[in-house]
Formats: sequence, structure tokens, C-alpha cells
Amino acid sequence: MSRKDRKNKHSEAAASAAVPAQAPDPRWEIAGAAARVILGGVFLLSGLHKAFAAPEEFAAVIEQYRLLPPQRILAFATAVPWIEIFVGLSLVAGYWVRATAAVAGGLFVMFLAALGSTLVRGIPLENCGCFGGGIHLTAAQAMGLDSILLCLAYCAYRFGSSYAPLDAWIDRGA
Amino acid sequence: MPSKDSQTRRVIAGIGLLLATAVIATAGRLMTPPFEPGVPAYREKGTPGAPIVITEFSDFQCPACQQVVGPLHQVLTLYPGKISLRFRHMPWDFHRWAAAGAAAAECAGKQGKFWEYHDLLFARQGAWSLAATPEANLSDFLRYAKETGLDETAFGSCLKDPETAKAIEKERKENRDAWINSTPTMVINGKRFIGSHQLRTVGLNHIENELKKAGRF
Repeated sequence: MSRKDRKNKHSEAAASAAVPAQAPDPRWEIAGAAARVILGGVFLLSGLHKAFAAPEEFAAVIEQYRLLPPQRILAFATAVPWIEIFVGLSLVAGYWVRATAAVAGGLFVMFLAALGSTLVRGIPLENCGCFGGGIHLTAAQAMGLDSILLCLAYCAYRFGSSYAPLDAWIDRGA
Repeated sequence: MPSKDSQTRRVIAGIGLLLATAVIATAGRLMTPPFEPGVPAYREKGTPGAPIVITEFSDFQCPACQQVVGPLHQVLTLYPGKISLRFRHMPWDFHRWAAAGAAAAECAGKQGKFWEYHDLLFARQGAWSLAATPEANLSDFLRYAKETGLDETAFGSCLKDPETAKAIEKERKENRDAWINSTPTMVINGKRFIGSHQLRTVGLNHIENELKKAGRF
């Protein structure tokens, strides 16, 4: 066997060994897609609850966190539902999945930090504001929910790119 | 490297999602008619026809509503002759005696003593809110009626009149239809403020800006 043959055989073996490691398990692909859709649904629900209410109500909830200056709170309260609806739609429609899942994960880290800071500072939150004035959760309950959703965001980031309709449409042009 | 075609598709999809977001986020606002609620004359204080109209949506059993009574009084004294304060009933189902409190204040109002009864209900919120039975609650309200100098017989029959509760329920529904979902909400010349903190910070700025616009500051 020539050196060239040996090299070819070696690279074929390496390639065949690499295939099972690179191709995701179909079960994970389904779990990733499900995580993406669930996460998108939660973002949409949360954004709609806030968008279909006066922004001043969400602003009143944000005030309780004592993290933002009063003049900035209303603008923040107005912007958040837009971000949540956009991220929610992107996840459900499967648009730029890894990027939107990363943004979703970043948002959950931010929410967890804000909630944690209220616990550390001893601020009693009547409502976390996660779903605007709609569904009332305490800081501890919200932290539990956000931790679960953060795991879903990771799952969507790692395995959620399959069965993503918009990304599939975009890739067809590649 | 993604092809030009794929990049174009990504931009088109992104714009489409942004447009969908804009439509969804603004749809509710566009569907909701402007809300300019009226109140009976006995539920208005300050200066009629004043350049600043504050409409307060409140629940007598809500602790945050109790906290806004002082700041609203301060606003009235800070800008004498420039404010008209109106009260709208927004009793919550989860406050056991809130609707009864609204009915009692309404019955006091029919005898021209709405604001006296309003102040008394908020001042003693911690007492009547703890009533264990409807009878105990009624007895509290009748005692307050006596203290306020109301005709107790007329007050009692007004409380029992189903029309009183019906009118409050109608008002609450109107408020909910206009997206009043928190108490206390203060609508100051069309702009909303929720809670005493918003009233004392951005609310006061809004009042001063409105007075400047009206040339009254």
C-alpha cells in the first residue's frame, strides 16, 4: 500500500469516525425544535400581555426593581414588548435560530440578575412583571421559571436549528 | 460564506418579522378608543373647568390607593385653582369588601358627602378591610355614615338597592375596556400615571408642562 493510499484510507476512517459525532441525534433535533417553539411561545405571550396593556402599568412594575432612573422607565417599558414579540416570532418561525436563541438566553440572564438583585436588597416584589400586569409571579417563582427557560434557550441554541422554516428558506438561496 | 441570494432572503425575512412585530405591538392601541370618562358632580373636587383634569381610578381596599390620597391632596394644594380631581370606582374582585366600599362611598356621594366618606374609608382601611362577615362590614359602613353625618336610613336603603351595585359594575367594565388594569391609575390630561411614585415624579413634571402649555404656570 502506497503512502498515498494509506493517507486516503486514514482520512476516510477519520471522516467515518467523525460523522456520528457531528450529526446530532434526531431526538435532540426534535427536542431542540420543541424548545425553540416553546421559548418563542413564552416570549410571544409575555410580549402580548405587555403590548395589550398601557405601558405605564409595566413601568409601575419596573419601578419596584429600583434599577433604572424614573425618566427612562417608560421608554424601557415601551421597548420591552417589541423586543419580546420580535424574539418570540423569530424563534417560532425559526429565523436565525442560534442568534435569536443566544439573545433569548442573554435576556434571561438579565432578568435573573434583576430578580436576584431584588432578593439581595430585600425588595418585596408583588409582581415580577414577567407577563406585565397579567400573570403575577413572585421573585422566587420567576427565578425558577427563568432558569428553566434559560435551559430551553441553551437547548434551542445547540439543537434548535433543525425544522426551522425561515432558516431553511434562507438556506435554499445559499 | 453565505451567498448573496441567501443574504437577501435573510434581510427580507428580518424586515417581515419586524413589520409583524410592529403590527402586533401597536394593534391593541389602535383598536382602543380614547377614554374620557365622566363622573357625577359629587365625585369631582378642585376647580371645575381647570386646565388640569386628574381622573383617579381607585379601589378603597387597595393599600397603594390609600398611599396616593396624600400626594393627590398635595397636588391640589400645590396648584390651587388649576386642578380638577375626579374619582372613578375600580373595585377588585380579590378585595373582599372593595365593591361594598365603593357602594358605600357612592351612597354617601348621593347625600353630597362623597369626599368626606372617601377620606374616612381610606383612613380606616386597616379596620373595615378585616371584617369577617358581611354584617360586620355593613355595621362598619353604617357607623362611618353616622360619623360623617349622613341620613342613615337613606344610606342603608341606598346600599341595599341593586342599582347601586349595578352602576359600580358598569363603571368597572368601562374602565377595564379602556385598559385600566391597575389601581391607583391617574389619568392627567389624557396621560396615565400609576401609583404614587409615578405621580410624584413624572406626573408632577407632566402637570407643570401642561400648565405651561395652558399659560397658567
